[in-house]
Amino acid sequence: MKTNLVAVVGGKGGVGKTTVAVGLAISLSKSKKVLLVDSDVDNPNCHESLNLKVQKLKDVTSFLPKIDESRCIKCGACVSSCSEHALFMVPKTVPKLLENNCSGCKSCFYSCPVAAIEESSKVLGEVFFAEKNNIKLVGGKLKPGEARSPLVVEALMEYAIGEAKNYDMVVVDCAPGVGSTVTRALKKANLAIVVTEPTPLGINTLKLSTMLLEKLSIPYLIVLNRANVSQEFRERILEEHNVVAEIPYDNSLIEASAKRSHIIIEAPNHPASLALVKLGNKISNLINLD
Amino acid sequence: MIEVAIVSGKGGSGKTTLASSLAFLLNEEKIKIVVADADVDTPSLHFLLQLKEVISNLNVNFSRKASLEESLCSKCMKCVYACQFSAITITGNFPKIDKYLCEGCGACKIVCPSSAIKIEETTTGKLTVGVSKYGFPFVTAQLELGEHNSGALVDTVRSKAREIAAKNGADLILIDGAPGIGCPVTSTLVGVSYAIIVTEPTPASEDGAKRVLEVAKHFGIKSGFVVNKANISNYREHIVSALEEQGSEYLGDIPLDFSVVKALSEGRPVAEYDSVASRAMRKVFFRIKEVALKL
Repeated sequence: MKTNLVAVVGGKGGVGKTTVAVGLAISLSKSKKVLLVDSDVDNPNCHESLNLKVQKLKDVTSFLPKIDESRCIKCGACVSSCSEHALFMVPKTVPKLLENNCSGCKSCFYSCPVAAIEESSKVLGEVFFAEKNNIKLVGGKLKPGEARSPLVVEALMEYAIGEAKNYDMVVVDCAPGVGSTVTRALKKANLAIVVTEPTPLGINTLKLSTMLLEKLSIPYLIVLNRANVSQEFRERILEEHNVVAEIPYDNSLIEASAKRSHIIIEAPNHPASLALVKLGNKISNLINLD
Repeated sequence: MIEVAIVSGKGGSGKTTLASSLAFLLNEEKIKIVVADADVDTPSLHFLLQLKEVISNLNVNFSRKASLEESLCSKCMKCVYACQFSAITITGNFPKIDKYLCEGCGACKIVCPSSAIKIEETTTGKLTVGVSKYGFPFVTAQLELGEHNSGALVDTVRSKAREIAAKNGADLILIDGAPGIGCPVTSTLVGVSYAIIVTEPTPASEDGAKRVLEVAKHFGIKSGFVVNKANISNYREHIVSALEEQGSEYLGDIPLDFSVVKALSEGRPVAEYDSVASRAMRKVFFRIKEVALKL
């Protein structure tokens, strides 16, 4: 069975990805079972908008070498195999590990000629979940001080893809940026929504995001958030792009978020809510047509 | 010479708005600065500081990618199981390496019994060094789309900024960070003497600020915070006490007014305007000068 997976991207931080992803999930959940995936593992926020307490499902770990000093022949093969310079050695001594540099790639483990490297692991973060009405939320959270967000995304997406068959629709909220944290979340997406805003920064990150999606051959729709903050830049975006939804900005969106809620719940008839419902219908139709 | 980084955890809270204005005000006070944009995924500080001159614009090539020579491949699939990054899958009869997911670690090459895998250097991004229209040196970079080496590219930006600062005898390097708390942000924070956290009065932003504060503390870095868009919700009091309780210094409020949007649209730092937000920005600047820069 085909997975219906829509990913919400934006490039720029704070552009409105979570507002759109959660709004979409709520709007779709009126008629469908929705799995909402929070892949912004540096700063997962979907649960805030849904006012949900999340529970840990599992730790995300990565490989960490443990050198058995009695077996080590001090050949240095592991040190030269390590592309992250996480292993170093003073000649004729047992190599030492700089844990923070280790990417968990296991090259040292594979290169050791005497099997002196044992498998140990370190916790990078966790996968969590929460449930509300027709929406199940799963997300990832990077442990502060750890740097390898893409690996937490990878573990989260593996779990989410496994669960996808039980849902009509999967909505993935992506991290900001255009790097591998985002590409890993996009791996199984059959549609992306690019959220942008009418500012020079919004235009620039829209360009970067659409270039990335084109490289990955993922079709996309563009949503213009805070459409009313600059008429000049709004027109510039509309001239060049086919925008499927415009979400106007006013203080009620912030008030909803300060209450750990979402505009679509607080004010269903607000123009922003109506725009999100329309977007949900559009996506439903697109997927039914498939 | 000291280094100060601006971070936030959550994106869109106003890092670049604050960074551009701080750079403008420092420069106005004749403090010798070098400004660096460490948001290498989506750099945007150059929109507000405007480069009048580009000194160099070079590819940075320290990423590595594996590639498979099918004629040598024995189809043992050892590489598929060796890869810790899910970058190799079985497609048809051969392993297939996804270049976006490959981290270039070389584990597949080590386990391959028939030397069918090569590791090649690829482009990580572009490093640009220039001069802002305000006259100070400016370093920025753009990560190659889909790349994973953002932290290493941030390191390159910072070493370039340090090199220029040493040559010019600069007093301060001001670094505008990326959102999040991962690789590019840890690379931004390591070794700075002070972190300025920009937050806004919402629970989502509070969460981001607390997470990045935890990272700063993890590296033993002192921090202070600025409440941006302080007037947009009554969550402000809560966030100020929550962050103070976690050991960060309160540096001031910046209200949202139309001049901020105008400045952004016109590509100028908000401090250049005369407005409520800009006056608040100056107040924050003097506080930062006193507690963080000790100038």
